[in-house]
Amino acid sequence: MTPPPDLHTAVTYLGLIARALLLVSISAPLMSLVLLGVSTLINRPLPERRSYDLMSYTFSLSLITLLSAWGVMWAAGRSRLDLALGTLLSTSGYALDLKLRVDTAALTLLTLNFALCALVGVMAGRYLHREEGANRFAFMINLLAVSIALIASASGLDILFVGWELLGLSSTLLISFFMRRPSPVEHGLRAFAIYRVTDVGLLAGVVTAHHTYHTVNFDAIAAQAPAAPLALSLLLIWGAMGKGAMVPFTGWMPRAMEGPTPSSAVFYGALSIHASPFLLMRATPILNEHPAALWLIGLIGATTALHARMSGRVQGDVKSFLAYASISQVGLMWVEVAFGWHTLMYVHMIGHATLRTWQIIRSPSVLQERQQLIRYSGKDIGVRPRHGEARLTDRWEAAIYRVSLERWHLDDGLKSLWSRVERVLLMIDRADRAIARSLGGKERDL
Amino acid sequence: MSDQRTQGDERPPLSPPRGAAPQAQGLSDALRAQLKASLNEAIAQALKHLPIQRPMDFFVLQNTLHSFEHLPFTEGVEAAAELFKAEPWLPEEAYRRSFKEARILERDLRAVIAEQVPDAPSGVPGIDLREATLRLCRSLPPPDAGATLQWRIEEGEALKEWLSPLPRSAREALRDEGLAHEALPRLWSLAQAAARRRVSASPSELNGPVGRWRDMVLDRSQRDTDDLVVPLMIRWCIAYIDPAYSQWPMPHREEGLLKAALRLWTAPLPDPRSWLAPLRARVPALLSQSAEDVAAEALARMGVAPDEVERLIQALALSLPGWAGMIALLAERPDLAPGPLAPMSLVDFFALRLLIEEAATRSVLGLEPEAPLPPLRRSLSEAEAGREAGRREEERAWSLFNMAQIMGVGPSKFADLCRPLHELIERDNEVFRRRLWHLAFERRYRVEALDAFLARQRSPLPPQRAPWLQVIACIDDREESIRRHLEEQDPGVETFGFAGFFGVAMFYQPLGSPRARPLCPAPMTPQHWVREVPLEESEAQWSKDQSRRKVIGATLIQYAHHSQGLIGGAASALLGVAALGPMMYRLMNPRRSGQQLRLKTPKVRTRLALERPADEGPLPQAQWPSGTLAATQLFKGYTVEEMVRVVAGSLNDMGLRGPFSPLVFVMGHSASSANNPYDSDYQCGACGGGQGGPNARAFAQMANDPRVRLGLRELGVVIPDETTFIGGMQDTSDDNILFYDHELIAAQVEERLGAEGRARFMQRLDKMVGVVERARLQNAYERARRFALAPSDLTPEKALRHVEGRARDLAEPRPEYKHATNALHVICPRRRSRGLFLDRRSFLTSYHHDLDPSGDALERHCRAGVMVAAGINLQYLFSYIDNHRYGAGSKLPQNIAALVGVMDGHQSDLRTGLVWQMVEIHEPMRMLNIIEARRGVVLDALKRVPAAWQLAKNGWMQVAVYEPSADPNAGGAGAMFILSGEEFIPHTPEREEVPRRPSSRACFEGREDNVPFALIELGAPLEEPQEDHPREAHA
Repeated sequence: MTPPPDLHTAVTYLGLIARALLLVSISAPLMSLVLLGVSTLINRPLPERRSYDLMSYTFSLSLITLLSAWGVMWAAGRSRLDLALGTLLSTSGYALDLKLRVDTAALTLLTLNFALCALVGVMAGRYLHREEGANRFAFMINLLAVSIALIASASGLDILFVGWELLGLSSTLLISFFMRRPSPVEHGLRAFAIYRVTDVGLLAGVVTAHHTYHTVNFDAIAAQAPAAPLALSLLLIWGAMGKGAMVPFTGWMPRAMEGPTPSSAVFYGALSIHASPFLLMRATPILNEHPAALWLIGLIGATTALHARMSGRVQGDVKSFLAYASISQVGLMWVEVAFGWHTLMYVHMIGHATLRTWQIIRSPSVLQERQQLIRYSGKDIGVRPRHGEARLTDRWEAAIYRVSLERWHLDDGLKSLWSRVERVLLMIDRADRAIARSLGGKERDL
Repeated sequence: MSDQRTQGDERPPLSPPRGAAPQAQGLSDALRAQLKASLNEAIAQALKHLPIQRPMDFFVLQNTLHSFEHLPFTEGVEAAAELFKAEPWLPEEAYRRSFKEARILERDLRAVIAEQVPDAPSGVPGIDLREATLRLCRSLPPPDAGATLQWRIEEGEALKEWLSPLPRSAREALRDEGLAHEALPRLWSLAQAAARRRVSASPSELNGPVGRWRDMVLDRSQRDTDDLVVPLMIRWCIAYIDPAYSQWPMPHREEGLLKAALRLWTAPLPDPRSWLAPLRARVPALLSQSAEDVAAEALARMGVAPDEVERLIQALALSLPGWAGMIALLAERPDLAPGPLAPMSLVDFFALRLLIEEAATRSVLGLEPEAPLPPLRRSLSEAEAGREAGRREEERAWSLFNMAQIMGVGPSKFADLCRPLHELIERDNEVFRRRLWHLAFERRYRVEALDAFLARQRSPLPPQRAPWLQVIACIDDREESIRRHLEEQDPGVETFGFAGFFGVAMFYQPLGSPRARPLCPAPMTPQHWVREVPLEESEAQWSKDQSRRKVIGATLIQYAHHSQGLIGGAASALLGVAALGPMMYRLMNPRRSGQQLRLKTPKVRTRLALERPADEGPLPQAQWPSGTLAATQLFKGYTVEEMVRVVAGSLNDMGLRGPFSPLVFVMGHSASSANNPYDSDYQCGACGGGQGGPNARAFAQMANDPRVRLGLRELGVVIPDETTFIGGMQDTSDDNILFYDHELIAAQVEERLGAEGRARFMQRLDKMVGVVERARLQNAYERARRFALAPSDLTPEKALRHVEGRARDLAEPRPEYKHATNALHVICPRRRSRGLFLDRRSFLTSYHHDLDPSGDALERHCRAGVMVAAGINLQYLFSYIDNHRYGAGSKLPQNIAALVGVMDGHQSDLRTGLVWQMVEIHEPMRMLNIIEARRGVVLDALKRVPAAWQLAKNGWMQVAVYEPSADPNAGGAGAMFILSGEEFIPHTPEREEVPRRPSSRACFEGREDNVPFALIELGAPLEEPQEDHPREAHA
């Protein structure tokens, strides 16, 4: 049914307005990112207070325009808008179109993104005051917002991949924010390595998708999905496992709690870890073709949830405990994706992100809140209720406790795997040097 | 990945294991006994150097280097720096900056050099040793070697231009040497040649003994055994200590750390870590042995000689000092833990550590399980030693090169003067120069403080008349400003300073709380248990309230537990968006929301259950409330006689024996903050990190009791009927001041003085509230000048709002600056320091030496206040000088572990000391105590408190004594002496005049940095105005 002409015009106008608003909303953080970055690059960094003001204003602007756009879309009866911003790159057979797809899923994630980033920006302005690297922090949070915005509104796997990489970059650099101590840098590197290893899967997935469908646009893929090979699904799952901290890659996540508290909150409580179920959800048309893939997602999710729950229960420090609590919920979200419960997953994700951010932000309050609660309820919180372990024999309780405390030895396993890979690499390196020497090359000192 | 250092099969060639090591199998009993003895001795020794920091809920500040107090200050600091690999003093650069800002004057530097450097020729013509030292302090660039030095030589200006700044005479002397870019390269090559001749380092000289194998292995192979050992130890320590946080307590923890660990290892399920496999295989045999035996056997197996044990244990202790210290402390004081503890023992800790350390070392070195380890010495090869020597040589050459310029020695004279320059280098190393700078920095402040104090004595205050309000506050430096503002707001206010527990050492149990908490200085243990109970009329309301609290509380506890679980977590996450509301509100409007969104303390009216019948004995231990375990015996409250003793003691020691003003306000203090693991550290130090309000309340209640007053009268302290005490508490963070029990007290007054008396009381109370209100505005205003985030158009009202927001802000790592900048402790009657602007840098103890000819009161001050203040001061000093080693680093990534301490980020040693956010504006200098008394009395009193005498004698705090002139009407000031070692030397004033300002505000307004001393013109204290007397009470 076509609407009457005047209404049609109105809807068109509304569509235009919504597009304009969305454009402002998504590009504002990008602008502020450029401003922060360039001012630092030309050695005229903004004063700390300015940077944080800029950040709060930007995200508030983004949030307001986004919500208005949502309202306008609703008024116009549109649940989805596409923004084609031109082609960035085009070669024979492939064009990188800067095309954004703003549907309900994207709108929700964008709202969450801007709202949390705005809050964390407000918080960090005071929390990081006088800290060396306060501007660097502002830049990174901005980068996070941009990357999540790209992931949320990507119309195809290629744009999503760009966001995915930026997300990994900002995450790594914020883990190693306190770069004068060795362990943040080491843990940042660990996260980075795991991102790299799994991102290869995503990149291979993008290429495979293009090879299969001659496009990486989600809609176009959905239209011809039946042709999906299983390998593509597996690559995408592999790609999602790293950022989602799924078994066996869980270990980087508690270790990522090295940055300032607000960044830990927004990355590992809220935005970064939820990128993985979002990716899976976007890839549903591909995954749905192979029940095996769905089973695999469910299995990985369930194992991770179990692992995180067991490891989490024995953690005696606040941030590791919260990290594992986060991971276990993301594991459940994978299970929900596997069952095709997308709406549930969505509600779960939004609620979890908000709640966990709030908990991590308050993680330094644990002692004070405990005191207040003891005082308030008139009851000592000392004895812990026992759960499943009560039913185990002593020997097995000890065994399972130890394995949980050692986090199932996942990291030890990865480490010994790596040392094997490393040995091969060193061998290649030695051979390379030997050949170079035999050809009369000079040994270069590193 | 980064772990490559610990993995892989490549083994570096290491010196062969020594052959003569004892066989593990045939371990002789004698050796075992010897090892055990040295182990115990070593643990006792190591314990001395561990940071003994109490759990976060009972944080108390103390000297970081308490184990070095037996040494003179400078010696102790430098020895500790070497042991802990810490910085002894600030970098030279920082002191030079202060020099530029005239915070250090040349005369200070000269004076310090005169003390520390003999008057002798330096060997360079025309420059004596002292002059040479001064020049080096002023101008010598920092030592350099390696790539940086290379850069300076090749790319920098070092060979192109003369060093800057140079003393004038040096510049003139160098003028004859020709152009800089020609002379300097020659000078540099001469210096290099001279350094080469002087420095020689043979491998045997460099290969000294090391504490543990890790140091040696790291040198050789770049593989760190700590990468294997430390994460494991930390994980086990957290799990073992954790009293109540994790949801699954460690099984077998009741058997001790070692046994628990061994039992977990014997449990089924594989452990893929191959380096631990030999250890796991040995575990069943170890289970039946005591921790000591296990440790001794491990030592023997590794081939450690008994005389090496101490060094090894110390090295191990210092690799995780925080956790080891926490175990040691909890073993001593389990009552300070936030929940039920397993048995704590350092022997267990070290036994486990030795086992793991051994396994890791063997694995990294590729040794068989029973083979002895290589000797505990560095084993640098010729080549490595050569590199090391080269580095030293470069450093020496660089020093010679710069020194020569500073002394005006050019290439032409260098050959002749090379020897004295070498000697200078050996005498004046960098640490020595930094020490000189530090002492000079302290000297400047000391001279200014003493001069200001003397200037204040020369300009007498308007004659003191009877005040209408006396305020007794804590000696805390944070109270200095509020006292000053109270006095400024109304000249009829007189203030006193006394350690903030006011002599009431008690276990205090607030209404509703299941636990009691000691409120007294940390070294004391109270014997009295005081509860807060609802008034009779509110009992019904309270019991209703209580049952509601129980339900809500239980729900909240359940929620806190389950919302982080799997199913409960999912369920609460589905509703999680609701968290957005409180989160936004708390972050956007901390001031309001902090007030509203919190678990409220009971609203009902309460009183303190303070009194115990005279014939009631101690409570049987079965009836002791939780939290009081440390007591030797416990009484339920105080008898009247005990109250008399408490009140008389405190009044006497603070020199308040009358006349009493009609209203006496006893003001304890606390500090509110949000999202702050260090909460208890912000509270009153004299209350052991608790809130001082209840002590003030108890003191007032005691002093108002007619029976107590009767008892006091017998002791010669006459409190007139008109005088009424009221307790209260100042929040030093949000500057809120509350009063306790004013209605109850009003009723008491009515009983004593009738309705008219009550009216007078109420009127004075109103007046006091007005004065306090104005004073706290000014106080907030004074404090806010330090906070860069305060609004730029600051007014007192805005400042108050700002500090209120700060104190409740989740995003605020600095709710206040606490004791930062503390530097002084004035132990005098207030009239000596009244009207002197001390910039919140001074502890103020009220003490009247006239009333204390025996020095007993002074002795008590030394025992409590002086020690507390010196501990605070020294912890700030060291946390600032080396925030990484002595302090706790940045607060921002901290992570609460096991509910007892904090770690950096994901996992680290427990961080002890103070975070940078607390100390960043501090100026490290030793506490300067100014005591008014006779020198002999001060010496006597100090000597009777060995701990304080040690601090004073060895210079860990400075002591100055002010002896007033014999004739009080002479008007002139008395004499000032400074304690140096065990002797007093007179202080020579340098400045007569101290600026005068009309008010405090005129001193600090518009300044963000430290404000110099100033005299404030105060109005005359008024007598109680006539119209204040009997008049109709207003409603």
